[in-house]
Amino acid sequence: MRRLLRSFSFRLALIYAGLFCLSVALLVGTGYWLRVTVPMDEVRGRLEREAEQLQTAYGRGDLPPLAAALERRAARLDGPMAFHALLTPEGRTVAANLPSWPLQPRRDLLFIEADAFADGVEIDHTALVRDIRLPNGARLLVGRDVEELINEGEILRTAAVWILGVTLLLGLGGGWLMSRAIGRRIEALTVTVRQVMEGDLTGRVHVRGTADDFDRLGETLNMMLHRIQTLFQAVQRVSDNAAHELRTPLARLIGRLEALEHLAPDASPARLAAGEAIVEANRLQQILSALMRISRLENGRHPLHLQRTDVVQLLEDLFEFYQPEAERIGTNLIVSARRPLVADLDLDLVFQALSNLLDNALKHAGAGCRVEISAMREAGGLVLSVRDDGPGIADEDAARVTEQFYRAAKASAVPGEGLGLSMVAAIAHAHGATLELVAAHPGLRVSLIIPEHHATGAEQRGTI
Amino acid sequence: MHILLVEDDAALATHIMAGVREAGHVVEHCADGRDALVRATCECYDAIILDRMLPTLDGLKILAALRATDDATPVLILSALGDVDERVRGLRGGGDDYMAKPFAMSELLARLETLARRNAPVAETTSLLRVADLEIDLAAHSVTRAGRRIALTLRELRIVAYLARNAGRVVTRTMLLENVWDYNFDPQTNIIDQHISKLRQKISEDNEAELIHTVRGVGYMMRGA
Repeated sequence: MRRLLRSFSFRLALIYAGLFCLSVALLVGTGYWLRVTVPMDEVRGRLEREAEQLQTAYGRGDLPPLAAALERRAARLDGPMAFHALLTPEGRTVAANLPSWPLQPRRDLLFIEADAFADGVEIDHTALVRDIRLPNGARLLVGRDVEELINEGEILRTAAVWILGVTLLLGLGGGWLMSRAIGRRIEALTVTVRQVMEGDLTGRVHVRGTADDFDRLGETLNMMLHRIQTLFQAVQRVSDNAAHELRTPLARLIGRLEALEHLAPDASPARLAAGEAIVEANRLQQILSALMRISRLENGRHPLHLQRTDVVQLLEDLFEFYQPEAERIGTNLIVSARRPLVADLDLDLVFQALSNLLDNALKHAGAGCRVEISAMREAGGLVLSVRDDGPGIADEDAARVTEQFYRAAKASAVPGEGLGLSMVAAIAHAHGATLELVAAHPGLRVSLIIPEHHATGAEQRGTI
Repeated sequence: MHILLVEDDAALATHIMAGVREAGHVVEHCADGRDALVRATCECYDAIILDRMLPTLDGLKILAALRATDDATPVLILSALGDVDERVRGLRGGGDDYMAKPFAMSELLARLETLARRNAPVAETTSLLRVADLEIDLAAHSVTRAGRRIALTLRELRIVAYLARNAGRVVTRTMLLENVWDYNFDPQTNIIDQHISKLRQKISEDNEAELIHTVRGVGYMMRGA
């Protein structure tokens, strides 16, 4: 329901229905005013005038002439049926064709039921009555029949309720249908765009062939996607070829350098320089491999080999691998995870990711610190974290550390290429996981949150 | 050793041949896939270094054809396709080892040595290994030096066993990583060195001779005296 209310097309339909109801209400209101309010006001005015005239003409004299005048008024057929009642100051009736009236006089106009019988059939009448006290103490009630006006008003009111109700229902129903129809087509667009966003560039919007607005939008989008795909493939080819073409010359370069190192006399400056050059060339090769791997992971071309994994075993192996290094630099390395903790993971990739995180933690936290690797199952899925209590990172760095080659300002003293976290981010992406960097006060906590349900989805994508 | 090198890049081939010859081996070179297959099936080599991307025939196809004739010559695949998947494909396709380009000559030589040895009758099934006064009984999970029992973790035992099996030959860090750890990954720091240094402390006490030697720029070698 909230989703429906948030939908743009439904809100539009709602506004439309509202405006439609308003115009219908205005129409019915005008009819009511013309047919009921105005005639009723006329009757009211006439009564006031009649009461005024009778009061001036007969108000101070005897009652019989007034009674005669009232009888004449009732007999005249110059408007709605006339009603009256004349009472002496003591309350005795002198003349009346009203069936009843209130005991105490009232100052305002009042409605009195004045049903009449003709030939044994009851005819409904309602009289609008003016009740006045004459100067001679007599009480005079004069009225006019407004039964028809009241009936008409009732009919119009009932009609208004029905018309508005039906209009509102039609408006809402129509709005719902419209929003569903539009919503479906927008949803189709959204699904395609999301599919493309997740790395499947072959996704295309389904076009109905009706050449309507959505079809045109879909066609334009498809053309755009086709263009992006072409460009992307071109870039891919270039970078693949580049990386590939770079490897062989690099191998030759390293070969030549090794030959050079070998030829130079022991401990000569030339030999040292050659050795350093080899180290640099190897670094170049590592960067190249890492870049290629990241790019393959990021665009979903690296197939995931998911397997049922004992996560605690994974952490223990990681611990075992890094423990000697942690001991050397004087860091307290801790694993906290409890069996059973099983998940479908790409073992090598997750090990690589955690290894990079641990490597970073050990490098940046330094001696005397505590580094904790933990795994637990939470509502969002499996959470694998590496936490240190070292200096942590600045907020502005947190957003950028996963960028390739980005290195935080204060990390410049620590060796590295700035690709470790990019690799972790790419591995997270391949697993449909999120990478989270949170200040742990003190230190930093980096978590991989791997949603459970995604495991099967990732496998499907991996096989494309 | 008699080695066949299949590599289409002339400059790289020259470099590899120079290196392999210098290490005391006989090497033949061919640059074409079909030619390579013919030679490999006709002659008997101790090891083959095989490039993957060759003119006329993919390296893996040559390998498949070779293995189809029950030829068990050790094959080291050398390729610019260095990704884990490619590696797995190469090894599943019958390769005995896989190296990504670019590589260090020393690494190539070290791997060639172990490869050729692997083919030798001294099978890996031997559960008793001996280097100088160090004895490793894999079946009993026990390591003793001059009668002194050395307590090792399972991983340390695997490192020692691998080094001992290749005693007298260089073992690179990558080789250790690939053979001792069950994960296929690329550590960013030389963590292996720390494992070795811990192991050294356990194996060699104060006045005992060092058994695990560092080969500068390449890796390690286990040898007595």
